[in-house]
Amino acid sequence: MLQQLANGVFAGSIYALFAIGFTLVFGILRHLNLAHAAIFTAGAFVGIEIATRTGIPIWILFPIVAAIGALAGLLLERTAFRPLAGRDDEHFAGLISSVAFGGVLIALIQARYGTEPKSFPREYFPNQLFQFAGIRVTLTQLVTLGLALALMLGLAWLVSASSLGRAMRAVAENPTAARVVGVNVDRITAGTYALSSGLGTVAGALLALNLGQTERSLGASVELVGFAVIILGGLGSLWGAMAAGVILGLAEALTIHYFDSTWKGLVAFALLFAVLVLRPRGLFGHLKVREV
Amino acid sequence: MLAGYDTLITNIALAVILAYSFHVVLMAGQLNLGQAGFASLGAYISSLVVPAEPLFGSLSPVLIGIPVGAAVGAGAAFLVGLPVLRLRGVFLAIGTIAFGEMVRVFMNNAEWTGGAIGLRVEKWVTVDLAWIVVAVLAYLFWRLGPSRIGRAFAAVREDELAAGSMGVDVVRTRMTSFVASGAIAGVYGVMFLYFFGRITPTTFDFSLTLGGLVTAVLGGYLVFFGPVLGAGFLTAVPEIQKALGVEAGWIHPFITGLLLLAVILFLPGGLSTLFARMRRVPAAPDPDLGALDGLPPLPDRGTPIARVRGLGKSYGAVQAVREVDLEIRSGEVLGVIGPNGAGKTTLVNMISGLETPTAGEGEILGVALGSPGGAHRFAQAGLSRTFQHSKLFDRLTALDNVLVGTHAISRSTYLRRLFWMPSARRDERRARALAWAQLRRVGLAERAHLRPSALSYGDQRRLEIARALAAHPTLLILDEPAAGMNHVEAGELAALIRGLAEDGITVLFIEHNVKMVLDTCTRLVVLNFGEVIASGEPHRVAADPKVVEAYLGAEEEESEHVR
Amino acid sequence: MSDEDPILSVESLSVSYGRVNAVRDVSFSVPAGGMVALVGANGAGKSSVLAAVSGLTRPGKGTVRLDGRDITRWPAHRRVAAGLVLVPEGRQILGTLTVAENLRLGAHRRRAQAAPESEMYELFPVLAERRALPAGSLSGGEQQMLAIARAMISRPRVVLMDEPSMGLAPKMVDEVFKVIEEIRASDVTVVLVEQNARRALRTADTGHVLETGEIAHSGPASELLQDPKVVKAYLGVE
Repeated sequence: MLQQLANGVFAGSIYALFAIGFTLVFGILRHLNLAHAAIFTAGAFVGIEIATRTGIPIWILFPIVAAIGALAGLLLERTAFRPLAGRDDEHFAGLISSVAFGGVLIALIQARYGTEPKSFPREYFPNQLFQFAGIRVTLTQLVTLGLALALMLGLAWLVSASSLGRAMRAVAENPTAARVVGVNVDRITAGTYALSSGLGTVAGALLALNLGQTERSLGASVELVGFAVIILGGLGSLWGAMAAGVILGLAEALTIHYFDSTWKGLVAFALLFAVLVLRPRGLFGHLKVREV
Repeated sequence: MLAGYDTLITNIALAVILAYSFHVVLMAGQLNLGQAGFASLGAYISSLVVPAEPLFGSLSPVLIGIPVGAAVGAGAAFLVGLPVLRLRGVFLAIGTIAFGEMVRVFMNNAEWTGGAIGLRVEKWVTVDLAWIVVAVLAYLFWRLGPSRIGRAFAAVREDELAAGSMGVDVVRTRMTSFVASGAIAGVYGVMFLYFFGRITPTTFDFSLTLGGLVTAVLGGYLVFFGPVLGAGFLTAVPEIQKALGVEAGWIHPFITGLLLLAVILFLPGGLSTLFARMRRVPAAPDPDLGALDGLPPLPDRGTPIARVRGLGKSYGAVQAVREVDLEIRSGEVLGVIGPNGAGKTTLVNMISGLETPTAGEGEILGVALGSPGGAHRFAQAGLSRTFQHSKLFDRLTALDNVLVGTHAISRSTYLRRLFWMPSARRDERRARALAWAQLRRVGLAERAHLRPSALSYGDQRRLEIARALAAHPTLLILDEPAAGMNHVEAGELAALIRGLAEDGITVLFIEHNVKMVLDTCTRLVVLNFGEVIASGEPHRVAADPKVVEAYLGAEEEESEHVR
Repeated sequence: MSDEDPILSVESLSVSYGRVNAVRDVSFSVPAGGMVALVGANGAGKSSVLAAVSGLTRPGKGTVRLDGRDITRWPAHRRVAAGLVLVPEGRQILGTLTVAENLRLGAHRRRAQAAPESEMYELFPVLAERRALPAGSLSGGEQQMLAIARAMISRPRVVLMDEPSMGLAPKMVDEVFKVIEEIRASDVTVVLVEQNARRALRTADTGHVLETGEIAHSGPASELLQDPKVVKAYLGVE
């Protein structure tokens, strides 16, 4: 039982890491970026390729993966979102163009890596096992949790306390007003995508590290849970996304414990459905959301 | 020769059907992504009732499955819609995705569905049948375009608040589009099952939903044949690839993705924009003097038409309006002035049913304040309004904007249009004549085919007044109609308002332009801090020291402004 | 007008939105410390001129110069850094940020020159009381004051004001114009776009009257006020 809960927390921290990148873009730019799952998948494949080719240690690998993710984010913003700026249907069209970008990215992954799953090299990361109070925890899981926590806290600080964060919040509320006071809105927009996608690729590589391997559907498997996390936490709320990620991870773990793994999805989505209907702004959300 | 292409052509038909289930919600601006769930329910439940043998020896048994699937989809959409349609935008999208996933997990765990292994049936769907269904759907959507409900869909898509104020029952309109979407998705599920002969719970998953959405958007949801274009286009890509002899598996998703990106970036209305551009602009009809005849008479001058007592509204600790007593009599022009934040807009929002008062009571044109149903009930009773910041329907022409205004005084035409009944044609012609008459009245007849964004600010305000007038209102409420206008334009507006009053329309308007208020209104009410501090004959009220102090400022320059 | 070089000049400016020509061939200049009023009918293109000068829209043709330098292609944030600041139409304050955060954003591009926040609170005492509140909770008049303070905190050299009195009650309009006169008195150059043409021309030294996107009359503000053609067409006085 305790073991299940611990597993739930680890799964939840990856959900949360997936979701904060997603929710960051939504909260600041009101774009529902459906390419995020593809970016996440790309992070896993790229992480494995670099690890396999160079064997560089993990603390160098992740910054590189994040940097590649950031570049992908810049490209995504440039091709799928910036050309739509100012259009009547900007938000809705962005949803479709991001689906298109995600499709292209997945096709490119297939072109480069084929259709078979790819694995991290054996012995790439020490699979050390720890025991606390009867709970077995791997070193990978601890690194995952630690890294996820550090990234989330860093991001929360950035948005709420730094002058960059103030400019981001200004853009979130009213891009015209932000430009009037001299905020470089284009740069903040591009930066938000870079940040979001960097977080997304790291989350993808982390999940692949935990699973030992990856395949093209990796992102799609997390995407729906990612929606649930965002809604439970309140769209645009970073703290909410973190808490909701862990709550969902725990809920899934408990479902598996008491019922059967085939019912796993039902609990998550029933919870999501109930929260949406009873408290549409999410458990922790307060942001007003523009319509798509 | 087509024989070898049967599967391909039927696949296109199925994709069109799925895309129509998105088309109908997108038309009304709703992002329903639960189609997979409705399709799944339609397919599984219809499998319980579809007979194993052809009907009367020769008819496809799917003819029973199709109505069953439609009914199951519609019923499920209605039940899901009751809670979920309180949500909007992304929330609605994700809520409906959650519903779809719940159905999938449920089907996977139920026994009668065959669980994860799925269901096998006879293949009863032929190419002909699939395309007959497509033809019926296309016909239904073709006739929807210029009908009253079609306009209501567009109005709700563009601006729900304005649509409600024009008498459109927003809740019902959204539910109608949602239920129609569920019904079409249910039909899709049945057609899919009996074409391929096999489904599993994962047949109807999120990627199927995304595919349908992409098809609908690619084709374009502003024109009825959009789904056909979208499905044809998407199916053509792998065929062309095959014809060119390109084998690599990743090429197809790659090209599809790039093309989708290109279409969404360069053809904002989808592929159908290519065709819609060729449509000619209908010419303005000759002034139809009979258009305004046959409208119900307005109440006699002096009849009380609205009365509120002790009206109040508070937001948390802030009291925006308190203890307002007001009676409005037919034929008067009532000006409401007061400093910013005095509660003027809150007061008219309560009177027009957009906000519920927290204190007091009242009756506007026979509708009690605070009664359930929302703004459209007040609109149908004869109240029409404009907004402080124009709320026009951006993707409709000026003429179509005004046509929405006729909603409250016209009858539903859709069902009659399906059967080409002359009475429907007569009703539509009358609505258009009314709309043209109002456009002429405000001087916008030459710009009838422009979108609001192509109009100057003053013209947009005039257009909003024309739209409000098209509802043949007893009581017209204007919220700062002259804001941003210069004195000349304000003067013209004042003349228009006086003309309306001569025609017997009661006008209530909020305004900052004091000269215009004094030139126009027959009675003046002054609000300050949410309370009425003076009311009565305009010039006497304006000279009241309390009013001068609170509103006009005591300086010499301002008194000159007033005179 | 003085002989010295203008601080801001606009040469043959044209702006169009889609097929609509909002501004055609508009030229004017402002000497340092001067004040120009742009008046005219609604939709005459006044706000479009300011949007092009502040960098919010790209003009189709023409040149905008600040200190003789061509800034036509500069993005808005670079113009703010150079001391050219807009007080936009409809105030555009950031309602979810606090009053203090709004001011800090205003100072953000010109940290070296910016005035301390306390100076703005002295100038606008009403903001001092509300510094920790979300700006959205202020009344319309207070929001206009905040919009002006947010522009002034960066100690700009040129302030563009777009309809600062719009939607305000007359008493509040008086206060806004009092503030505009104070700004003038501190040698800051002002370009004022106003619906209240009489008020604007009384405050400015030069006026330009726009008509369907073109300058129809120009001259010293006091003369424009007396010009019967201008008075009749634009001031609506009987």
